[in-house]
Amino acid sequence: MERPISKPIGQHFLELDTPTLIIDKNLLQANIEAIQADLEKASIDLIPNAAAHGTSAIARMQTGNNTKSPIFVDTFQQAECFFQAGFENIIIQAPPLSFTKKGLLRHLQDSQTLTLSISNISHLDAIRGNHGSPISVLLKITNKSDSVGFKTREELIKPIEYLATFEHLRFEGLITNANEMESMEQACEVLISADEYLDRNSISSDQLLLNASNLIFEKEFNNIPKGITGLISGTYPFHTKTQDTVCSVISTVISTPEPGKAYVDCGQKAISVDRGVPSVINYPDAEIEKMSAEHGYVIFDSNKLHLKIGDKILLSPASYSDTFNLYDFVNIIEEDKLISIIPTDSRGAFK
Amino acid sequence: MKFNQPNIGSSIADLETPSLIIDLEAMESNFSVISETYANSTCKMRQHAKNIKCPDILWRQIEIGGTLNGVCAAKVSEAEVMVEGGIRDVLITSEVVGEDKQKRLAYLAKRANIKVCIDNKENLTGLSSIATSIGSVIGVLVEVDTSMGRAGVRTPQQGLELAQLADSLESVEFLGVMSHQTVEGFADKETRFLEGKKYIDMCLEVGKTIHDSGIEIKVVSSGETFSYDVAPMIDGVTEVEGGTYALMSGPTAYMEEFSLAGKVLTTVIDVDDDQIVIDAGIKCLGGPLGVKPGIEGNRHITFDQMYDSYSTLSRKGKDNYKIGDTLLIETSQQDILVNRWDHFIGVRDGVVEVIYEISARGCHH
Repeated sequence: MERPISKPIGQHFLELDTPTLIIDKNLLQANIEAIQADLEKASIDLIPNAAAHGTSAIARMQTGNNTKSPIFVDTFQQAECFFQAGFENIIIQAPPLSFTKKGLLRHLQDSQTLTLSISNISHLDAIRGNHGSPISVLLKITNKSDSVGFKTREELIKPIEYLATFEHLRFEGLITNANEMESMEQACEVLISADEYLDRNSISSDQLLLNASNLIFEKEFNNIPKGITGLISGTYPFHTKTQDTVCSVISTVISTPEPGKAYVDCGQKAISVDRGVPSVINYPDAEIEKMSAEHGYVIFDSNKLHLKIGDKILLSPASYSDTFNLYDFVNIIEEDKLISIIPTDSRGAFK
Repeated sequence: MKFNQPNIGSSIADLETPSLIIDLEAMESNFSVISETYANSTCKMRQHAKNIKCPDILWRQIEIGGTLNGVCAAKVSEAEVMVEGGIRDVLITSEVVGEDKQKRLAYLAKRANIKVCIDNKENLTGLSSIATSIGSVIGVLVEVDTSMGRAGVRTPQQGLELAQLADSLESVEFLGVMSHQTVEGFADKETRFLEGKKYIDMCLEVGKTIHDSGIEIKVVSSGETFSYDVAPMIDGVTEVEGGTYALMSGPTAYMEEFSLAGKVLTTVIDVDDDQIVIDAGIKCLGGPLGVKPGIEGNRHITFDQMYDSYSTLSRKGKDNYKIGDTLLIETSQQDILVNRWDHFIGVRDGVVEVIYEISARGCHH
């Protein structure tokens, strides 16, 4: 568990104990509203991937405090965390293969609207015994950037026919995960083509969901074709390229051993480098050279910049999702002052 | 709701996945290597807490032997957890900067024997001033950069000036010098000896310069897992800061005397002709900048893609894996991975024997 030196509400954010994760509330709210408005114009539902931040307070902002509004999570443990926080419409991307997960599924399905995304027909066998309230089922299909799922549209018929034999299961539609911006268009094509194929076989899909949880959007969602009913995103509150300081990690220079080098107290345990090295926000002439487990190496042109011990370096993570996963708390700031500290409720809920 | 922890005595086959497992026999074997190596040496192991973040496990090494009954910690908050866990001698291997943190450190020094590394006069002066105001004494060691290009003095003269300042200040006790270094790739024993000795000698050179000026050197803390058997053979080294050896990881597997003890148990959740999909992804395994984990007992299967909560493995040979089977994942960078988990499940002969809380997880302050 994190053990920062606690600071009072109202403290300037640069006085917080470092390394620490901060979010600017007003920028966060503005991002959420702007992207929701854009997607509403395109008649596409925006479904927050709450697992990206694991924080029920942010998920509530994303859903406008509407507990019936859908959220997406990766694991059963995460689903349980958000259910406990009051969310009643959860899409889970995991098969309940174990006894414990089946039990949790039963608990969740009887308490709320539950949708499962499955990638293999045998996953239906895992839930066939879960009689009770209905479970909606999404079939996950592959695209160029994700090889997990049903690989051809023809493969979809059999599981749809199979799940129709269970009273408590209902075919909801299709989902695909776009993991690279370049694959978005192809992923949409795959979804629409599969839907057209099902339509020709007299099967209708209520949902065609594009899961682009880790992609950073600018205006790319304007290119999402008609027919896609929902976009699942995890990053949209934090980064839209036009406002890149919604979410950052504050670090402190702890050593300046040579001209042009500074060593900060934030390493891989406090900001993820799993998908790339962080960038420096507040010193344009500085960059992260590399990161060790505990520390970061900042390099800069010493003719242009002088960094000294105690200076604060703001870092923008290469992956928000991976970085939230390292923190138990997030500091919320408004006009540069700390206004609240919120827990990352589902941090570490890997099961 | 958190999933219930497994019952002690339950089978590994009944564990929920993914789970972080410690093979207790392998870990204890690693601890015994340390015990035997340092048994007749004046140099002792000071195990690094940053790798396992669990005082109970650090105590196991102390009980088995080879240590000086103290540990290293990377950060002040991590050191606090160790002191609360009953360990009374902690060396913090990072510079501690800022009045708030130094105050916290000074208070900790009222409760235990606390040492910290230094590389800057202003920082040292501040530390002395705060410790004086609080009424504690903090041990200090000059950090020497031998090869990493990070914190630490660059020359013996810089080290001497810091030592002289420390020697003149109140409430800090100058103890000696320390360094940390690494070796690239899969190094053979000869390379480990050559590289390890080269770096440790650089640290000793700074110590000698300080000693020659008339200031006593009580501690030379240098060496780590890759040089654990080099350091005690070098006159003057008093302690070694090893951490990786406890659980080990794929990239350090060249040290065959140590066994891989930390693994992640996963379940196969999908299969097809080309790939296996497991229920462990980047969030629980980590894959820093493309370094991917391995699969225990099967070199025909390799990590292909890692996503948030699942990964795909390429099948290159014949296997019979089916949905529901379990695999053990060998970690690629163990301390980064451990920092993401709340518990270790200690297993011996396929049976859960103990559950350890990773109580310093997230202690990056």
